[in-house]
Amino acid sequence: MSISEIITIPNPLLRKISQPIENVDEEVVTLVNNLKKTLYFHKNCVGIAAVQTGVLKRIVVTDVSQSFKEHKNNGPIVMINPQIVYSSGKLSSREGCLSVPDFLGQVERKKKIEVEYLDLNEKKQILKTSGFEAIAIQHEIDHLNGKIFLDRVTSLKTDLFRRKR
Amino acid sequence: MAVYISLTAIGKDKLGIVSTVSKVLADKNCNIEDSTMTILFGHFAMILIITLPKKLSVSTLFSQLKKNTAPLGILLSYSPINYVLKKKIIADNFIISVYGSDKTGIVYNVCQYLANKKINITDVQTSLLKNKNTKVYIMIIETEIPKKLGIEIISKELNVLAKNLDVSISLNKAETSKI
Repeated sequence: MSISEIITIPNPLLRKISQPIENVDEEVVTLVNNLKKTLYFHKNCVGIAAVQTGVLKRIVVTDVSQSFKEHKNNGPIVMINPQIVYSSGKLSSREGCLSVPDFLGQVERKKKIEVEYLDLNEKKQILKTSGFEAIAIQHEIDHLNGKIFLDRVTSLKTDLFRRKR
Repeated sequence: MAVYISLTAIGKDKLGIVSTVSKVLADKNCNIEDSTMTILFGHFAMILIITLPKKLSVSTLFSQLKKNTAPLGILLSYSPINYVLKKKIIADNFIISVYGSDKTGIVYNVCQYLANKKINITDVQTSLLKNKNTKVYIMIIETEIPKKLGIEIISKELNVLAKNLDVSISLNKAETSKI
């Protein structure tokens, strides 16, 4: 297991679509272990996508228990080929990202999601979650589709009062 | 009719700038109608719109402000302004995020496009991220896009502009939900 280097904007890899995993082989297991190690290395980091370490594979790891604020969570989750199959509601929060150091942006996302994915045993799993964990998963799945939170900013960072003419 | 003054102050950030300026204003019975204050590049910057009571002249207020803020070493300036009636326009608020390797002219090129389209800018925030050997410029612009322009066309044209400038540009409807 090793801590991987995080790629940051404007690295063009962050704009690329990650490829689905066909078999969970040794290479995938090593990649997952490295992602976990990298996630825990960064204080308060709650999620990481493989592309952030320069690997264009559809794998994300989240662990919302690592947040500095307490949130309802399912602990560490490894998701292979994750797909959001249902979502509802809206929730806005300030997001940051290891690949966009020192910048936070207000982003609106779905409040509740249902996500389908394969676990490390290639077993199909369905996770229903909401709140901050749902936000973290949506943020990471965006990475697999070449999107980062800056592409979804819906409000200025200090916007409490919208300025009008 | 009330007298409106725009008052700006900028100086190396230190404790007491807001409290010193606002104390003079409060002592002189001036009202702060609107303001924005932030740190820019280690400097504290304030822009205030204030109204003066009838018997107070702008020059009296300004000399008092200059005297009290002298130890802080900030640059003060003022200008009378007219009250502006709010115009109703048929437009939607959109956020445009722009980011990419820092280069001269990002702000100019994007804002020139918006001006040509008669898209009004209501707020802008920028940030320069320095990371190892790269400098990334981020600009988040809040705009009013007239409905008649058609958002799909604007979105397509912004994509072309992004390619030409070698930056990323995204367009999102501004969040307006209230809780």
